Amino acid sequence: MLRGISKSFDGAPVLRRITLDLHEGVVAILGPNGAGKTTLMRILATVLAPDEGALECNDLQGEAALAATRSQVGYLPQSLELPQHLTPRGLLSYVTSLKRLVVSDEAAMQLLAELGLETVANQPLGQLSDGQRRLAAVAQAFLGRPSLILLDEFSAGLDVAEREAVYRLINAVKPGSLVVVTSNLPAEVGKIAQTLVVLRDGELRFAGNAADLVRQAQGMVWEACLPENEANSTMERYRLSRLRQVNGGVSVRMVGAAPELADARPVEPTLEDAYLLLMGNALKR
Amino acid sequence: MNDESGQKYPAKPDDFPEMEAWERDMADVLKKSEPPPLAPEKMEALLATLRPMVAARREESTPNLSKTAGRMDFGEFIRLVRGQASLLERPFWMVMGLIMAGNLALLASNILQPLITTLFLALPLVGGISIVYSLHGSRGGMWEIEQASPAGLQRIFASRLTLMFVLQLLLALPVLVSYGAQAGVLVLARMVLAWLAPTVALSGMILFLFSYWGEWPSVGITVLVWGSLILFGASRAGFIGFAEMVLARIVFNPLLPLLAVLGLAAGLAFGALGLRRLASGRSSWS
Repeated sequence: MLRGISKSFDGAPVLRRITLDLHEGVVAILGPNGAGKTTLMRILATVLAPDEGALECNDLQGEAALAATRSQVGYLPQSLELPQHLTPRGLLSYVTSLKRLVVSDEAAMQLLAELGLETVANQPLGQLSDGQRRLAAVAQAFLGRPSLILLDEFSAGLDVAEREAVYRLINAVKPGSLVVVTSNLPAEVGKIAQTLVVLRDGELRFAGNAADLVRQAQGMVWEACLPENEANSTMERYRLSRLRQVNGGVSVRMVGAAPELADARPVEPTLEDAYLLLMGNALKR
Repeated sequence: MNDESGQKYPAKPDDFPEMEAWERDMADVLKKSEPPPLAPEKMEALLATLRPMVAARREESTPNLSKTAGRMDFGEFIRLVRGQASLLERPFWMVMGLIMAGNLALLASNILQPLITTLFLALPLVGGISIVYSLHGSRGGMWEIEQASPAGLQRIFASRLTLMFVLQLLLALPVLVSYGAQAGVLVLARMVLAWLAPTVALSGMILFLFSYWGEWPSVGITVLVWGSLILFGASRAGFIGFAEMVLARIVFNPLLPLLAVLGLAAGLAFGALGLRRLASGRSSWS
């Protein structure tokens, strides 16, 4: 539970009075770069203290909340350079000592196997691909089956199969667990998250389920076919969510008020349309 | 949902009243009936099958909060120290091994034995630089995982310092034992002070400097300070065979106990300040 969290760096506000009630399930924090996602994750992970507001955990506050959070958190920071000489197995062994747990070698190997790392479990991380290193970093967050798992941009550098492996791991967390992921790709998190939290310029713009977010965009999404020579002017006037070459022109998908285009027709919004609409001009920066 | 014939399946369990009644009857029968007695060997086989499953489930269950949030016992601390050792890269172990081999080789050689004192005078510097090196593992975001862990940065730093202290002690031990055996306990005690105080003082200083300016400035300043002191002593000793003279002056200085206490206190104070700054996340690496 986050109550009225604010954070500034060198006087520049990064988070403004964020209040969130997070219980269980998969929560995705969405927002463009610089929206405050990573700062919020670092506060949730107790790595960073907020300037204002408080973090509560199991109705505990202050130091007790910090200790309670740390005893049940698995955390993947956004940028993590792992010691290159460690093996994935060695990394899990090291993190086991940090988490003060007793995790058998079989359980650690099982975790690596779930992420497809069993064949490279004893190879130094420096010899692995970026994706495999990221997966090893993901694995350490799931070590000991924590009940609070924080994954900051977990999919960075992962290919489709590797992402699917992480999705499976997320879906298999024990009941009552809370998984918080950050992303700036709504289509990705739409597959796994029950709750979406959208940040923009450090402010909370939406918190709820994907269907509610999509509903907000009802009647605000349009498609039209245009001659190729009109595409550029349309891109400047309207916020496009998709642009595709079709026979003899371009098909455009727009979000916002009804466009002044002859054959524009309303269409069912997707999560990406709704996100684009909510972000307004923030994504154009 | 439709099957191939187009017939619509009932969608809810309520649409099967007969089935519900049958399930209720079956449940009543099962509740009333007693399970047949199981032969001991079958019971044992069943338990043998179930035990690993129960153990695996237990392992997967929520970590014990009271354990992970409470005091750390000695065994856990040793595991933490072992974890820190795994972060040290091969070149570090090679350098430590070389120093140790050099130590032993010089002690074994009658001709080169005087050089051992030069090595001994360099050990506090090796100790300080090792401390900075041991912080390598926390770079690149690892410190975030460490800080978010139940162990916490302070315990992790404590385990790192413990590991480094033990390694430095191992490096100094051959010389201390050798000289102690030759010159007696009093000289041994003075030599321990002559090694321990500068090691702690330089380690504290380097930690403090590291917390503000990072690796190279902290190492550079520490090398400069200790190097200048040794050169000063060497210049007074006339440079030839200076190490033995310097060491003798340190060990037999009447003010050694007082200077050692001051060195230890300053090292611990600077070290504590540096560690506090590192643990608060306001340091140069974060």
